[in-house]
Amino acid sequence: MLARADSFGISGPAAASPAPFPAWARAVDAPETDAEAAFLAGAALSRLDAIARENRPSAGAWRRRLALAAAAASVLRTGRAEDEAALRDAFHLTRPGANPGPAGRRLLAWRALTSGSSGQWRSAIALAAEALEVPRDEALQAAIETAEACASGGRPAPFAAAEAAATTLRILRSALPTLGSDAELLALWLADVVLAQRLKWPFALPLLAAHLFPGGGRRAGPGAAAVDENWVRACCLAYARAAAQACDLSADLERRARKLHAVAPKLRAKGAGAALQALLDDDSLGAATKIGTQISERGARRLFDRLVALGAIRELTGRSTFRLYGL
Amino acid sequence: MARGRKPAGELDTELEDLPAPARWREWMGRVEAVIFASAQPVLREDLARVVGRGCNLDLVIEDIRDELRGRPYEIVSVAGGWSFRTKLGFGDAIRAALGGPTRTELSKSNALVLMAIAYFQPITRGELSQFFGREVSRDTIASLRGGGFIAAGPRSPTLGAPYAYVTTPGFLAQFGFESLRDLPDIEKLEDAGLLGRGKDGALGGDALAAELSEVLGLPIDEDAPEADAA
Repeated sequence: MLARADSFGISGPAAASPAPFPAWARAVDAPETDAEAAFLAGAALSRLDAIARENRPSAGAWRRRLALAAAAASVLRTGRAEDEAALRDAFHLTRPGANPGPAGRRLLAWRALTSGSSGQWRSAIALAAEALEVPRDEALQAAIETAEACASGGRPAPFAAAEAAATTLRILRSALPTLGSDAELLALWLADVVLAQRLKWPFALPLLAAHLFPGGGRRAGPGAAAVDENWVRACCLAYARAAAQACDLSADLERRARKLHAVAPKLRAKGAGAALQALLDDDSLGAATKIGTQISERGARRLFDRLVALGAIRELTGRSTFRLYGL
Repeated sequence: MARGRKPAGELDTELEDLPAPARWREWMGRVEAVIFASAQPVLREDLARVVGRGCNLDLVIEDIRDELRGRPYEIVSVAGGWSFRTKLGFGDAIRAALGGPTRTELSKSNALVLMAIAYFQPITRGELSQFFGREVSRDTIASLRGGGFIAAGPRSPTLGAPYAYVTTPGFLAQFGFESLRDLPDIEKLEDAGLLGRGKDGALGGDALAAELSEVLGLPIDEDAPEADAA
């Protein structure tokens, strides 16, 4: 039986490519006042809002890639040297249930945010706390309740998120001083939950962490994020930049998804449909990643290499072994 | 405490028939007993099963600690749970009476390797060897694994796909750390950017060992590693 593209059941691309992100809404220079920052955040988030609701074919890969960027920023904040490629390796080369190491655990925490619909964040934060080995005690509970209060309040989304980040950071830092920069991770994690709740997005997006700290976030000295009078402006600016970049990333992934869709009719491999869907749903896949029941590891490797040859996906590591593939 | 006969397996956690102070004492007793009876650190979830729903475990532990003040042992929080430990000052007395530690004995060189794994996890045996400038033997790794200090983490994407090793909760418990953040001087290493693996998948550079020994005062050039085995 010949498999046809339309029988693969992967969702087709949007008919027309959406308008590019407007240049006037990009926060190129740091704004001088809170109002300027809030304007940029509002403009960028309203663009992002449309994409977040649209549920594009590549939405899964998009969210997971945002999680990867957030994790890389968080890992950098802890003073470790792992970059996105190293995080991918830690994630893919660890057997299920084994400990992926300190950096890999932070990626698991961020992926937890993208694992379910935004309404399921309470079970997601339990996963994140488990990954980070944060005790599930009163402090975490208080942080969760703070986020709930901010999410159900009436403040505009970026302000509610900034407030949630500041308050939960204070709670976690004072109750669990040994948490170090993981307190920051959890606070920014909850801020992104609050933003998604306030904007009524179907899924939460990891946004704030990758853009809040200037200079890529490499920690200078033992200092940690200081919640000062510029906090709200910093958060608004970070959301403006994060939303602009997320829009760009989505447009890029959508383009790649269309390319993948275009070559789909050429594929004859058993289980190719499941493999294509998996590529659209995750940041990256290894040949050993379990995809459906129809495709073997060798079959997946052949399929992925063929897709790379067709220019539909990329090999992400540059290695000749332990290769990882993604949009 | 004599209580009415209850079918086994159904513990009355709420204790509503008791006045509040007696109820609190009973909860304290239960928590202390459970921690005392367990060889491993007891997790919060486990303790939550023997006290009432409205009971604040942290306050219970706090009260037990207050009562134990002046005793030669205390409740410490390790590896995400709680455990009894004798206080540090009594180590000599215990050793004099019972001989050396009966648990897994760590030679000095093994302890060094373990600390390097703790700081630089995930790290492979090859990287450890490179780091110490001498072969770190499979036996060393095996004995650390056997002692429950380390486990296999992610595989390294290099020839032969060796496992990179990570520390276990058992390591944290044994050394009295609550999390890896409690490792001495870890902040200094973080600020120096020495932790983790960079783009090429390798640990950060040749100067690493020198810098580590400088920051931590670790004797990296230990030449006679087996001398202290006797």
